[in-house]
Amino acid sequence: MKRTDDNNWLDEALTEAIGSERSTTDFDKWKNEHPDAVKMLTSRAKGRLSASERPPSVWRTIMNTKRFKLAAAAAVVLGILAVSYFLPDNSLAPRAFGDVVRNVINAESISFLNKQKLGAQPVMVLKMYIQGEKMRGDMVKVEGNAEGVKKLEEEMQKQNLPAIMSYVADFRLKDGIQLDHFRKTYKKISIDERIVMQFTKSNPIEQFRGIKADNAERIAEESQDGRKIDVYLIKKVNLMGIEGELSGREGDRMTVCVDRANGLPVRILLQTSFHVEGKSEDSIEFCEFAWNEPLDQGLFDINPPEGYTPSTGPDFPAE
Amino acid sequence: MTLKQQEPSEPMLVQAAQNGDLESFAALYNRYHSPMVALGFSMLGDRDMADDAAGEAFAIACRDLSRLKSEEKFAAWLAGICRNVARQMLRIGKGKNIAPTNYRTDLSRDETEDRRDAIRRALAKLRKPERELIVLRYFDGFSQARISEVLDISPQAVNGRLVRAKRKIANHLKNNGFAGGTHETD
Repeated sequence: MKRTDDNNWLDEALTEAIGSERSTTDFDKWKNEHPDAVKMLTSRAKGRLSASERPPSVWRTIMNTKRFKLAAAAAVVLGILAVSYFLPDNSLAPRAFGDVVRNVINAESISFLNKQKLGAQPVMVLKMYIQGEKMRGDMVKVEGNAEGVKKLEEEMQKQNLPAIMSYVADFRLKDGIQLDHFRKTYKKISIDERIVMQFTKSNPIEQFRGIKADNAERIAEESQDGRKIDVYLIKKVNLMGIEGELSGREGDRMTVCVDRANGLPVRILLQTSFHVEGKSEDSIEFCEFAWNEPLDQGLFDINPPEGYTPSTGPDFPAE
Repeated sequence: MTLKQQEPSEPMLVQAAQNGDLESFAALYNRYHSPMVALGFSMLGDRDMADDAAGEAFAIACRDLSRLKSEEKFAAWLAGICRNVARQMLRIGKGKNIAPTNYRTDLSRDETEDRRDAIRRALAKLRKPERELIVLRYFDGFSQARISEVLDISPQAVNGRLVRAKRKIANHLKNNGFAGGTHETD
């Protein structure tokens, strides 16, 4: 067999012969040259509902992506697993964290708020309920200064809506439903474990069991409403596409606040400041935890509520 | 600070675009414009025509995006549109053979130009899938992963086909007196 060392020569020759044909990418130019196509695309955002029914654009954007669904699933995972960081760690605060983990795992029910702020997007506020293998996520609010956010708020008040949309899942039955409270529509969904796995890549509990003891550090003791709160700093994260080592400085850290009295988290906050193309500041917060309180079983009903009709369009994320 | 965040996934962009978000469509355009021009060039042999084909392919995609059922296959779907557009252009006489019509070796041309012609002749002799692959690879230095998305074949298949196509080009160059192109294996 003979093989010359001229592969580089060939690469260079091919690049020279073909690469010289490169063209520039200019979306604005293309847009101006194809106004009809652009109009057709953008009209999809407007044409589905009459003006009075049409939700504000911020809501529409949220509704029409998988993000809410995934965020709901992620919130479940994160709510439980953020504290599971400490599972193997009994060297720094052995009793407190051991209790936290056991209490979380043994909890019969949890509800909490999940606030997500990613870049310049509005803050999404999800109210999560978990009991056994049942879960519900209500997108209760969107916070921000954008005009669409204000309109959304007004519309919710006007229609007296408790939530923008909801996601109810029964992981045992692998069944669930998405509810669009604005349009009074629903879509049945099959719970695909990949939804959760997308965020965790692998079994998240096992993943977090590997966290070393020095990954958590008790950094403060606070008092809130007469309760003693221990604040723990997490040094490494691997959550929801955010992966890496945190400096621990403000805006670049993860903290877990634990109520010393019952050994359960009261607040988990992940703040990041990172670059994709330009700087953005992001945070994921879990707060207003309620542990082991009786939950209305109607919350986990995976049947469509009365008056809701099946969603037919592609507005809901395809399954 | 070593945190990193994934960019919006392609299915998310496609979904948002399907629901009328022009910004998301722009992101898809920016991501795939160059590969589509490359694809058009591999069929039409002319950069301007390839530009037109790519532009028209995006216009069709823009109009028909709601028909796309699998968001993960956007690139391959778009590539299919682009091929159809290029085919139609060829049918009505637009475009030209990627190879120069006459193999010229006159003294006024430098070796680079001759070699370029020789390469284009070699490209013209490749099977269409191989030609697409080579053009995508060298048009703008697309990675094998990117090519894999556009052509909807595995990265391993991309690699294997690239090696074979390059071997053919090298042998063509060798047979036409470009010693640097010697590339024998097996």
